[in-house]
Amino acid sequence: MGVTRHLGRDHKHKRALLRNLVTALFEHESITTTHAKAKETQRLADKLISLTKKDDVELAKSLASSEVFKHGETLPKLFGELKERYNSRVGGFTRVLRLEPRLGDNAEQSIVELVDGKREMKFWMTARIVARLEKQGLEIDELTKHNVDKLVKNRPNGTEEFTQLVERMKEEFYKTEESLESLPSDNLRSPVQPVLKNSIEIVPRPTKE
Amino acid sequence: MSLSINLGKLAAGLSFPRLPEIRVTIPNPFVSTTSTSNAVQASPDLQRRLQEYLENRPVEESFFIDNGLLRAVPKKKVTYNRKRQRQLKPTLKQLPYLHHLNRCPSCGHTKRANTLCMHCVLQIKNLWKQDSKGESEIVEQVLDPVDKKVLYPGKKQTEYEKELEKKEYVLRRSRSLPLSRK
Ligand SMILES: [Zn+2]
Repeated sequence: MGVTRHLGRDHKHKRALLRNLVTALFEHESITTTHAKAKETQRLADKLISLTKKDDVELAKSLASSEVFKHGETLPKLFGELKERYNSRVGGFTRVLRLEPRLGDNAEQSIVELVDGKREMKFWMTARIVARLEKQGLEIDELTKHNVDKLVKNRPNGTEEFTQLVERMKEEFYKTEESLESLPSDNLRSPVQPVLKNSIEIVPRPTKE
Repeated sequence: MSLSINLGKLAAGLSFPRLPEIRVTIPNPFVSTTSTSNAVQASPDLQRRLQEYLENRPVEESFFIDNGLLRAVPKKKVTYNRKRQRQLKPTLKQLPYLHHLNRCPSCGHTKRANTLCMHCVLQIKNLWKQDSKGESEIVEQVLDPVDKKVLYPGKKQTEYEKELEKKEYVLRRSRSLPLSRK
């Protein structure tokens, strides 16, 4: 049973809102909204990317065109770049990351991002963590290694891109001696080893036939 | 029914009742000094100030003073005990303690668990902004300072406008403290 989020709007208004949000997501690859809107946007975006895997492209395009705005820019990107990028994935095309509550009204905020995109916050944050550990000469812990593996796995030239980004992060944030002084001297992961589900294979959903 | 009249304000010379709509003008004793020889000689500054006060005295002021009406006030002092009991009882009005706290693995400051550190996120977002600066075609034009002087001569910024430019009205997120483990 899914949660029914009305988002304080009537049906048409809500649909227009989500259309706007998903268009912005495809355009910028990463957007920040309230958590409820983020989850709904994620749902719609995943559905739209799944649509691109249909055999009947014309039908899929006509279905997708009623869910997004800015057809001239969004549809070619969706059926071109994004379709190609998620060829090897069967689901999980987007990610929602929680943020601190918003200033002013204290609403829960989140980032919605396209996985393997140019503005994937998790990719950048992990690169920053690795940069810090390398700069301090600490060992990279299991969880970070696991995260790096997952981020790099399906990205074309992922490993090179990641090492480049780590170098850039060292330049940007951990260049001077003072910036290193305030950092903690351990890798900050809990002593309990996390159970990593590396062995689980994602099984595609069975078709009707 | 108890009625209390504040007699303190009824100073000599002003001892008549004042009503809201009626504006009473008292003849200035200092103005007509030429006709009466008994008039008190006061400094011109005092005379001017009295004149000014009598002319600009607001009507509202005279309504709320000396009209015999009492306004609502608490009947008893709220004791320290009662005040503290009200403020410290367990209700939703109090700020809850945060127990789900972590440390940010990239900067080491305290953050909520299962949440990204806002400081680091904003720094990365600034990097994105830097990267995409050349991409957008819209360039905001800034007026040359020499042109500005020619176009708007004598334009002077008020103190208020200078304060506005500091943008202190924008809410800024304060950074969490670095956690010292002992
Ligand atoms: Zn941080």
